[in-house]
Amino acid sequence: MAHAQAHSVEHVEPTGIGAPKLGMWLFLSGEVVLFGGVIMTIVLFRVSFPGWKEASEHTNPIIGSVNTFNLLTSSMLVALAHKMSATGNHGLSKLCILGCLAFGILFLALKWVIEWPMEIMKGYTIHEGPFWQLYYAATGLHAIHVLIGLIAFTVILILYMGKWRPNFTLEATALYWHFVDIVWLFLWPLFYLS
Amino acid sequence: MAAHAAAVHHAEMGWIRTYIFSTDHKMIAKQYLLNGLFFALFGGIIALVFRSHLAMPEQELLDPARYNAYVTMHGTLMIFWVAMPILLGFFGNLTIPLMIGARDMAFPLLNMMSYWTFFISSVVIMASFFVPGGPFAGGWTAYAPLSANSELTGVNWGINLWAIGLALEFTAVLMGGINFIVTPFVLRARGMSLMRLPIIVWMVVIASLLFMMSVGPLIAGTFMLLFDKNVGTHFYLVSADKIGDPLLWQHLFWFFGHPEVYVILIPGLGVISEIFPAAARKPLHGYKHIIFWTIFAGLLSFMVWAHHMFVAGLNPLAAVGFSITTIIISVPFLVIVVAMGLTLWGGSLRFNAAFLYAFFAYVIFIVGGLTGLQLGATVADIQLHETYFVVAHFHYVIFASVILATFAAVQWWFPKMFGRLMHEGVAKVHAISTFLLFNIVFTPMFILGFAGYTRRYASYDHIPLLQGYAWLNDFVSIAGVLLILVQFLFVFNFFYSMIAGKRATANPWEATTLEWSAPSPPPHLNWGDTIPVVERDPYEYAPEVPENGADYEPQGRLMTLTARD
Repeated sequence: MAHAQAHSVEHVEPTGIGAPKLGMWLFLSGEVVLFGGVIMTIVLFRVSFPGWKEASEHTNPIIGSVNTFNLLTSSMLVALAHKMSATGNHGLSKLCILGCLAFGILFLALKWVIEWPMEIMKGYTIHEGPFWQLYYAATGLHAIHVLIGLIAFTVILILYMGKWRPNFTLEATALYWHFVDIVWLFLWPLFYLS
Repeated sequence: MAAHAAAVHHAEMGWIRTYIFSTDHKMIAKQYLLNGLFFALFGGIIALVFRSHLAMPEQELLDPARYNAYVTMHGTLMIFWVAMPILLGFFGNLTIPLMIGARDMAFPLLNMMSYWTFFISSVVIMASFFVPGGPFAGGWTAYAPLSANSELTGVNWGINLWAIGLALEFTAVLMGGINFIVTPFVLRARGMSLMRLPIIVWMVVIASLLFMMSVGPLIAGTFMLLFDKNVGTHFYLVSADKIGDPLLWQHLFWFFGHPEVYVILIPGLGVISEIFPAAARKPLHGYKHIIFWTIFAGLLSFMVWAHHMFVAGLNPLAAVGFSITTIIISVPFLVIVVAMGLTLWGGSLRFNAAFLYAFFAYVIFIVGGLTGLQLGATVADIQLHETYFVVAHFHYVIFASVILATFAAVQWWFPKMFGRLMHEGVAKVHAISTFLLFNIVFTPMFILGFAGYTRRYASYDHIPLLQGYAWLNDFVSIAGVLLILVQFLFVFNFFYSMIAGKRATANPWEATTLEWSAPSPPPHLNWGDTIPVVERDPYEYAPEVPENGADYEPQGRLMTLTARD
């Protein structure tokens, strides 16, 4: 990998965008289509099958909204972390990444430890019709993306503690994190506010 | 300077880092090629087995359920484990860095992970042959409920492995695709503007973009399929008290499936466009037209998917709409095909084996394209859907781009892989016999399709109406066996030439693009102490005014690295 980085700086980059950033944008465009497929399925099931509205009244909008706040805050913190890191303010940058991790973990904890068990205990399992199976599939897929982002930030933070300085890596991961946030902004009204 | 350090670093790398877990794009290309060729042979032999069964159903070579499993695996393997690794993994990895003047891909480590993920997916799909119940038998399109309910086909683990293998394969191609798109945008040599990129690079970029923009819904759909089958949800399945939507799978599958057709077609057209100018000693006709019309075709390919579903209970109004977009999509391909033909027009043709392969691919693709028009029209499709007409049509398209274009590419770029030339004579015999036998196998299938031969039947003996054509169907089977057998000529030529072929010079074809400025085979990091600088367009051949004894101008030249570089 060392030589890879050595020769990638040898060339001019005519587009002015670094390779990691461009790669991340491409990856995210693929992800847009992935979640686009899921959201289209939600739309299709919602218009085709009766009983969607009744079922959707049994989700917990308070937990959903608190989790929206968690993700938005965590997104803001990672944007700050990138800015701090770019201006050389590394101590504050690390603190921001830590905060972002905390809010992300809070999101997953609320979802997986409190929300899902509560719903399953009430009998709303994945077998309870179109709404619930899509609810678990879509928010589950999103939660896995949150988990992957948290793992990435943990690795970055650990490396950051040493001599390594994140520039492109933090920016690319931050892009991913904002994307995960945006997906939630679509899922939140679809499942909690409808 | 950096190159020096890296070259020294490479010399210290052991056998495993050089040949197995290599990050060198040329080695990864060879790995993809060999893996793909293995499955091409394997998939061909599967076809041989089920066609033998069809020729003599009373011998019961396969029981009918197994017959469908073999048909399914033939399609699955040929599309996802032959076409994808070769047309993207092999073409992209071998050509992109060499042709744009880069030392390697933008993300070499990701590139290595891409191949090894693909390798794991190969193991998974092969494993499905050895699990109880055998491999998946619901057709390569895996329509629900056949795929979502294991009682219908008697296959249980085969479905799971099929879905997991497919998801892994998609992941591998996604990782490769990010490289194929990013590399030409960030690592081009000095002077290599976008409108100077060789056409194959453009084609791989467009194909990778199409793949990335279409595969997402199917990945989600595959997991929903696994949920339906193993957890008991009802995304696709309908039961007495639970509702799902079986058509949802078809939409998700074909939203990916049609762009996928172009993913495995466009790089093949790129290879033809590379070889034609060099064979005709003329610049590629309509370079920009080919690029922009291909992009247009790519965009259109997202709006035609339901033409695979005309008889699935689609709203007739929607069918008209999809029929119109489908017919429109023939316009860009007409432009591309005409541009290729005009490249040859008036040229002084060099009939080497690579040109023969490319030319035969071109001819066969035209037939495939023209028969697609009939299937695109709703009225004709209602008659022809699920018959051998469809089988013949897509083999004409895919055999051209996947099989013949691959032969052309291997023949053409063999010097850049192994430093030797493939044997011309054997290759010519192989090209001509493959072309003839292919037509002998698949032209009768058009007739069989019109006669009413439906796909995926293990025997037609019980249908009195079809008995008049039984001899033709047997004829197809026998010719098919011969078609598979002549492929061993290629296998022989490949391995013989790898070991004992004639040593190749740097530019044996007198071609213009950058990879022919590098030695054959290029060293690790391609350019040694030099770096290519691009000075002109990619196809500067001059049939009329040879200058300095050469009728071509290389696209760039190698400059010695200075301290500034």
